[in-house]
Amino acid sequence: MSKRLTAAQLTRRATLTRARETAIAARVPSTTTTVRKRSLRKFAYNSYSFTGVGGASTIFGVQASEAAVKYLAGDLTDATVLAKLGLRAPSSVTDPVTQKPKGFKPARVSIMVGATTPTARTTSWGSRVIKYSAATGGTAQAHYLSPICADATATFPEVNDKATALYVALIARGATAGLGELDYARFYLYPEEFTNSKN
Amino acid sequence: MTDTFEEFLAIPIIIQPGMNEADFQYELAKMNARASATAEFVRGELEPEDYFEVLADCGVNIDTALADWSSGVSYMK
Repeated sequence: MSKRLTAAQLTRRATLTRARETAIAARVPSTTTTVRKRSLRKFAYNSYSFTGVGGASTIFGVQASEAAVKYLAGDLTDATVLAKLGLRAPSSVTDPVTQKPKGFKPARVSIMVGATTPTARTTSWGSRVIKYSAATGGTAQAHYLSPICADATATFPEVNDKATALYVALIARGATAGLGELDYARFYLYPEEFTNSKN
Repeated sequence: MTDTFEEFLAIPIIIQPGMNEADFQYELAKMNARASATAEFVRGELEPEDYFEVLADCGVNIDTALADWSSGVSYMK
């Protein structure tokens, strides 16, 4: 079903692939001894798929990247700010946080922050690439992935609505100068994953 | 970033400079539809042909996407 390529295209691709493999084989591991700390924090998560007595969401404990929650919501501890992602501090939840079922993955939002001015560079194997990500190498971070969940009080929560509200808020935040840092940004949403199997 | 199959298949909304509010909402709705279809496909509830049809309806060039995926390119990177 894929496109049929010409001999010239395939030859060029083969040349580039060979050059890339040679360049990768010649790489030496970095000698930097410091590593970046990527802290995780536990949050209470209201499930979309699992409901308890009276139709209330079942609450699970999930780990979230502190950098991602800070970027997407704005703060790690402020309850009203965290509500943008639906997350709550475990200590603020009176219901017990249940063990997650096997195969369960929370709904997640993922974003790549774009560079206001994209840059082009030539790879060590001779192909030209344009970089739209804001990461500038070293410890810079441009990708954020965080769980997003239903509001505790929502009756028929939809993950699409929650994510749309979050993205609109992010756009509004960056809207001071065009879309500012969100030019060329990429947004994505992963709905909640669970297994239907009875085993 | 792409540690699961679903994360590999992700086709995000790309914020273009000069995009207005209406364009943004339209693209966001299409991205949500693609996200639900991808999750269903990964769970095995959608046949590949049906999944491709949803992607085509959401403005994705299937030929390009398949060629990219088969050469290991993910759109979230």
